[in-house]
Amino acid sequence: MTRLIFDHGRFGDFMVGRNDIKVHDSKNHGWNERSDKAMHYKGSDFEYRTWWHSYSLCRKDAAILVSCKIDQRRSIVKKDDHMIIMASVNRAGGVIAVQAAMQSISHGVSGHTDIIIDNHTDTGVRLKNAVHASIKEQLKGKSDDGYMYFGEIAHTNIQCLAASCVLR
Amino acid sequence: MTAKFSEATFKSLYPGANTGAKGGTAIEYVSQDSEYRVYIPGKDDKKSTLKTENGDHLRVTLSQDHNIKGSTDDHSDTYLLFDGKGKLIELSHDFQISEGSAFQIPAWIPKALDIGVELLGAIGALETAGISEVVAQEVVADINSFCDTFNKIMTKLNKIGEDGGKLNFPAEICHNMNKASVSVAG
Repeated sequence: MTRLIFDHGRFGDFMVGRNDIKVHDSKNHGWNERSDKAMHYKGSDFEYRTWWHSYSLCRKDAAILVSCKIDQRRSIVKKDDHMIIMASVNRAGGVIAVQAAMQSISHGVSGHTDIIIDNHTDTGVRLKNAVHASIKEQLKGKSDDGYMYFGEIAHTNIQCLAASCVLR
Repeated sequence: MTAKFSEATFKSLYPGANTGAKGGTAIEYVSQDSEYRVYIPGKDDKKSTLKTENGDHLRVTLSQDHNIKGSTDDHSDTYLLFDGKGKLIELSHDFQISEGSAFQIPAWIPKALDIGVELLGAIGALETAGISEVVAQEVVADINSFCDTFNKIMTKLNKIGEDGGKLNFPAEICHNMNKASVSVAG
């Protein structure tokens, strides 16, 4: 029977192949950190970490839910920022809906996006814009480029995530 | 027909996890660098219960913890009501974050209005894969309920932790709801 799965190796290969981020170590499909349960990469001037995705299949494998945590790796004295991405993807690798939640211990703030439902425009761009809008609201006029860049990181991650939901 | 919950199916959806935790009543697993626990419906009198209602409906309570070493765990109870055919027809949540205040999310009925069935793919392709239009409708209603769950809990989340394990808890709740739904059949 053909099953719908999330292919972590494929995700890593897509991340390694991107030119908007730089995965630090491409061996093992990029999964070389935290006992091979995370990958480290640079985006703009900032450092990020994506954790090994969790997923669950819907009835009859009609769709798949995939989620992961992404960290902005700050300095030794500042705590990491976190973002959770929660997506549902269909059997053709199309995003059905996606949303994200973000927190920054450094600023003592958190927030989340609305539910972004596919409407045949670019879901990744809409996710990026929604993440930016939430973080802007959280920071209340303060600026933090590395936290704000979670928008671009979410965009990259959702594209690679959706493309890694495959039938086997 | 009465909806039934399959413990074997549910456990099989947690590969690599400890499916015999808490004296065989719970499953413990690691996700996103945090530890979580879900009680297996029907194994404990108080946590994750199963109850038949209205003749053929099945009420599933899904009790879940975010295990925090050296501190009080975060807790969530999700109440799911399935009709006689195993379709999810109502859900609600109780939520308690350690050092945060408890909150309830009142019962709501999952709808397929926001996420249309066309987002699952072409009907022909779904039928070829053995997915009927009825099942497709149920799946988009399920996905709607998972999206709403994540959004509703995030809206009320009133405490964050350093490692992001609280922030990730709503995603785990969605996966566990999905796994419970897949384990219920009419």
